[in-house]
This record gives sequence, C-alpha cells and structure tokens, in this order.
Amino acid sequence: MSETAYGRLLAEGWTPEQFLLVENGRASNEFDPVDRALAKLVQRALRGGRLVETKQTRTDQQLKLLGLNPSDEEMLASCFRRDALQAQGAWWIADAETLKPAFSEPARTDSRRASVPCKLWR
Amino acid sequence: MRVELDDPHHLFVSVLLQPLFQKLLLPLELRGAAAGKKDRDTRRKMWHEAKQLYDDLGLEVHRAFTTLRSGPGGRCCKASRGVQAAVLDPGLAVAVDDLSALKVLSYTGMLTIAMIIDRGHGLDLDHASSRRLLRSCIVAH
Repeated sequence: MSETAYGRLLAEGWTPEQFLLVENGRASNEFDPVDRALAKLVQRALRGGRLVETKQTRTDQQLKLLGLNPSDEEMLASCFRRDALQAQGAWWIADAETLKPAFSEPARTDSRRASVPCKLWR
Repeated sequence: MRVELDDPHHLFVSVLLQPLFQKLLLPLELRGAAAGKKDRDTRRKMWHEAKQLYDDLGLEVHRAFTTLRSGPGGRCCKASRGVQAAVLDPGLAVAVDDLSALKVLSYTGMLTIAMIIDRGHGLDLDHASSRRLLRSCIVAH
C-alpha cells in the first residue's frame, strides 16, 4: 500500500486533471492486489466454481473465500482488517452483518438459501 | 447467515463481493422471487438500477431488458420464448428462452467485469474464450 491514503490524494487533487493523474498513476498500483483477487473470484464464478465455504461453529458462523493464494490472503489481511480500517476513520463498518453466501455462488444458488430461482443455474 | 466482520474474509464479502453480485444478479431477483412482491415504482427503480450497471459496463442490453421487463410480472418467467442471446452478443445467434437470456445476461456482466479487471493482470479471457464461456453457459442450461 502507498504511504499516503488514496482518499487524501483525491481530496488534494480537486481538478479533473489531477484526479485522473491520481487514478491512472498511483491508484492503479494501489488497488491491483484487490482487483486481482476480485477477478479471480469472478472467473471462478463464471466457471461454476464455489466462491465461499461456510462453517457453523458452536459459537458463530464463519465464511471463507476459496481459491485465493497466499498473496491474496496477505492483501485481505492488510486491506480488510476492520480494526485497522476503523482506526483510519471507517467508523461505518458494523460489528456484524447478515450475508447471503448464495449470492456469491450463482452456480449453486438454491431457492432455500437465496431468493434466486434454483433451476436457473445448472 | 450472520457473521462478525472482524474476519477479513467476512469484510471482503460484505463490502465488495456481495454488493457486486447482488447488482449483477438483480435481473434474476426481479424475475424470480421478487416478481410481484414489489410495487410498480420500486420495481421500475430496481430495473433502472440494474440496467444502469449493464450500461455502465458497456453492454447493449436494452432489448433484452425490455423483453424481460414486459414478461409476466406476477410470477417467475418461464414461458415467453424468443429472446435471443444475439441481443447480448451479435455473434451468438442462438435462440433461447428468457430464463437462458437472464442467465446469459448475468454471465455476460460477470465476464465484462472480469475483462475490465483483467487489464494488466494477464488473465486469459480473450474474445474466443469469452465466446466459449457464453456458449457453455447456454449449453449447460
């Protein structure tokens, strides 16, 4: 990740030209790892693969993204840590949220798990 | 399922992956379980939102959306045949029913997003493999 936050750069670069410079230059490198992980997941969905694995423990429910390599895991750990993001001002991130894993698994969507018709997908 | 967002996997799905797929699959939702359950204004707003995403992706889906929107509104679409995948991909002249059209629509959206992200990442998604993927989606129906 870069030393200066993307939002701060945008706030400073208020003209369209400056905005584009930030977008085309620095930002593209900054978000490459996130893009790469997302592309991998979209490709996996296109091929009908599972994107997530769910697990019910005694105390809570857990969800794990599948098909990520160690560098993707590293990106997740550095960019998607709630405490770190909240420390940077992302106060809006809730403690818990209801997810619909079936939405991330179109090839396996089942009417009991999501509101998408189950026969729509093979 | 309710999850704590202190896990990076949970947060990634919550803020990025799920909103993306929810938007892509909104046409399926509108013609599926949500059919007949929302009032007209809400439905119109949701269709507009769905079409906006596909427009933003640069996909020409006006005819497909028009056909899908004007189908039977009170239940899941099953009958009206004749929507062509060619609406979405002129080279793909395969007549399919509207369920397949929905499926192709969503897959095309996903494919386009993958291709947009692909720039500079060396993923193998050239035009030929895109076509193969689209065909396999239809055949698998």
